Amino acid sequence: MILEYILGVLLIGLVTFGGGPVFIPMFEKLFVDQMQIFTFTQYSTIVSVVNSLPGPTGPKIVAYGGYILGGWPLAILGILLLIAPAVLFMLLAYKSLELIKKSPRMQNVSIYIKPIIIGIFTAIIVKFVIQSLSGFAYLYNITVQDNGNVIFSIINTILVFAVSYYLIEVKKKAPILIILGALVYGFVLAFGTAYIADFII
Amino acid sequence: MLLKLILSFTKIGMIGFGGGSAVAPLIHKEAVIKHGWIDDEEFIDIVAIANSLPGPSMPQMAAAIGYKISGVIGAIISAICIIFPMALLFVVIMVALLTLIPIEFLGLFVTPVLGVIVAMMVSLTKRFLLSSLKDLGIILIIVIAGSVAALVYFFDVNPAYMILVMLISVFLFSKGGAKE
Repeated sequence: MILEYILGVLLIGLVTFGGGPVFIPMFEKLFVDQMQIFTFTQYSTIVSVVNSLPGPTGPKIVAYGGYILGGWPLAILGILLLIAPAVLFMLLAYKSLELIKKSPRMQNVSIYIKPIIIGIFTAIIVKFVIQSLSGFAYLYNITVQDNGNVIFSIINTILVFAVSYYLIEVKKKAPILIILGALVYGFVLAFGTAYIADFII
Repeated sequence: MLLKLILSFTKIGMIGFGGGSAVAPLIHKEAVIKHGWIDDEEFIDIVAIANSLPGPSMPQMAAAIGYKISGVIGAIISAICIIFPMALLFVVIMVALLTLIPIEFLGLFVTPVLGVIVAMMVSLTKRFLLSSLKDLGIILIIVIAGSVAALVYFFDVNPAYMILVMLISVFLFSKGGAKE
């Protein structure tokens, strides 16, 4: 069982590209289907907590699976198995890129990497805008006990974006304050809409 | 210097919602803006490589920056600091607090943070776009960025292939830096 865990985590670390959400189905296969450490329902709960807390997605899931399997030692071992090969590849690749850039032909490589990163970031921005819209729609469903209100989620998404963008670009506020502010707003909004809905009905 | 690495990456690990590249703006803020450990160009290289390689991106980005500052020790410490505190805290939360907090409400409070991530990403993307405009024409940037975004978003293509294609085409068509 422990060997299965070690090999499984190592393999996932080696074949999973993209990180974050991509880890979720991979660990579902290992922990739910293969090793049966969790039931499907338990795993869904874990995923929803993983998504609600900061920090890296994969290592959080691995740590909890390892802890259930064999306490803290396996939790720590699992994280190390997941990140050690990744970090090793990273350092090798970083070194190689530095060497590549020394060649006079490749000096202006960074100029062309920039638009690629802009593209990757754009894809992430679109993904999070959609997640934010569906997140607010879900919040409305739960608290008001009514079907998702499109206007509610669009207004909230734009509002949160506009306020945070202003605080980041103009006021140069620290990200931690903006994130805490957003959490407080989420708290107030969830209870506020629930309260108002009760009041009206 | 090591202490600053420890503090910065622990902080990023504890406040970085979304995981992976969504944490890139926080790393940029600490490593480029606040401490000046690396410049924009190096940061972009690091994000590009982390996106191309298998495994979690957060420790990869941290390790590359740590390596740049304090060698292998810096790399190991940075990767550990950005991962371990939050991953272990997560286990504690799952074990100890799960019975106290209703999970469906936990998700609700976090929804607005998604908008904050969008704002941070837009701000950083704008910065890179403006600096990219100094080197390349707007049409070329839109063509490259647009096709990369479409391939990543709709087809889940690994950015490694695009970076590889780009490296090869630069190698083939570049006339060498000496002339510039």
